[in-house]
Amino acid sequence: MEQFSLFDNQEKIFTVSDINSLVAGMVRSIPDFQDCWVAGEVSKVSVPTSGHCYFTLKDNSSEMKAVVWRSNLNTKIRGLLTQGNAIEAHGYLSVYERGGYYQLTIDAVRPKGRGNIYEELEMLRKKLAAEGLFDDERKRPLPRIPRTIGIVTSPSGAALQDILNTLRGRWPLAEVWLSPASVQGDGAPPEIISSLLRLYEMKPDVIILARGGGSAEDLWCFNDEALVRTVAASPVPLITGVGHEVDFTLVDYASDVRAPTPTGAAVRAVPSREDVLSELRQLDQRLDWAMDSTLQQQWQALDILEKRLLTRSPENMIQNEKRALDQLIARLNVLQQNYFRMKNNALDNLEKRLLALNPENIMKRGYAFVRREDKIITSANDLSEGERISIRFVDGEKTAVVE
Amino acid sequence: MNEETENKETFESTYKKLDEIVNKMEKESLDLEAALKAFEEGKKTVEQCRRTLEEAELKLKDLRQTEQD
Repeated sequence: MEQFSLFDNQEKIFTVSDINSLVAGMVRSIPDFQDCWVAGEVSKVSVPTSGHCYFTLKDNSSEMKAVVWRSNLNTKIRGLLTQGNAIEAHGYLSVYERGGYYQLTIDAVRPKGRGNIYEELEMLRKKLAAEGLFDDERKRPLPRIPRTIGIVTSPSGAALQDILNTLRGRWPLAEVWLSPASVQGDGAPPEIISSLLRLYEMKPDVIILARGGGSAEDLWCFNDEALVRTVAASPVPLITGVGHEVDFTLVDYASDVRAPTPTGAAVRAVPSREDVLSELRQLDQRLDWAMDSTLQQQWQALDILEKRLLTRSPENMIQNEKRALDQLIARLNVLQQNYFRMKNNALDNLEKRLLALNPENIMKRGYAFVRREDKIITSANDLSEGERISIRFVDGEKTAVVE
Repeated sequence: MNEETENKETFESTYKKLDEIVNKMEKESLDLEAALKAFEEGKKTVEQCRRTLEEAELKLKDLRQTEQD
């Protein structure tokens, strides 16, 4: 039975390489192993001539192999990899098949607990944000032309020189009050705070809080809660220019303006001289135009007044009177002509009527009249027989005797 | 505020004065005498602003040293 089972059981026999290869594949297939942070204590560090750094990472009960390739090995990492140092290492797990062991291949190292620091930073940021310290409504506009600029930075740092050079180039009218402070290390926050408070009392028009670029650790003091609160409480607009473009610290959220660099902060703080000169040119031109326009208006007003004056001059008044007189004369002439025409017409009428009454006109039709001793006889009873009468015809007179 | 600061005030206030003069001349119809006066003052102010800008040099005061004095 035993033999049978031995015979029947098709036992799979692996080679060493098979096993190592399979384990390697399994390790590779676990995503968490390909991107993980491992905490432990550094031990048995060795850097052979290859330049790679081999060491053991261990805790209280076990240990594992770890390696940092030469290409990832900078001075900062090398410094952290000293015997007994507690670190957190980032990398991936892999199986070294030829040796039959697995190891952590590391690309980043930080002191132990730094992970917590980032979590705490995020919590602090959320807490301060919830208090409204970072609200957009709190951001004040910067004065366009500051007379006084307070600067808090290291007196020996390149940041100060960058700021001063920028101010000299852009707007040398400002007066700079340097309130120096150490900007690195644990002692920095209280020093920066007192430098800020010194400026708060003097109330410059704007304050620049600046620091040149550095590692996250170098800039860490700008995440200090008391400092962030002091920045938020500034009585005058405050510009932060800490580190480089990519660096964000909590003071950047609390300030009125966050500039990417110290130089950027100086640029935001003042106008450019060229811009203001060009504005001056425009104002100058507007001044000329306004004067021209006023003069033109005054000339026009003068012209109008002159015309009004001339209409009231003595010559003009005489002319006016003369014109009125001429008109009266003309009217008089018309009236006179009308009068004569009217009288003429009346005379004509009378003449016509007179002519119509001429007795000759009647006598031409065969009438004659009788006179006796120049007296016209109008009745037959007035004549007696034998009286001499004269009969007047239109063309002559004959005498006759009444029978 | 010390004396130097008061000197520095002049650019901003002079610039503001110039801006007010120009606006006044543009918006109000001034009589000739007032206009000429405003114009003259404006021209003077422009020159003053220019000169201040051209002659300016950054003044730096180290508060730490001031306190030690």
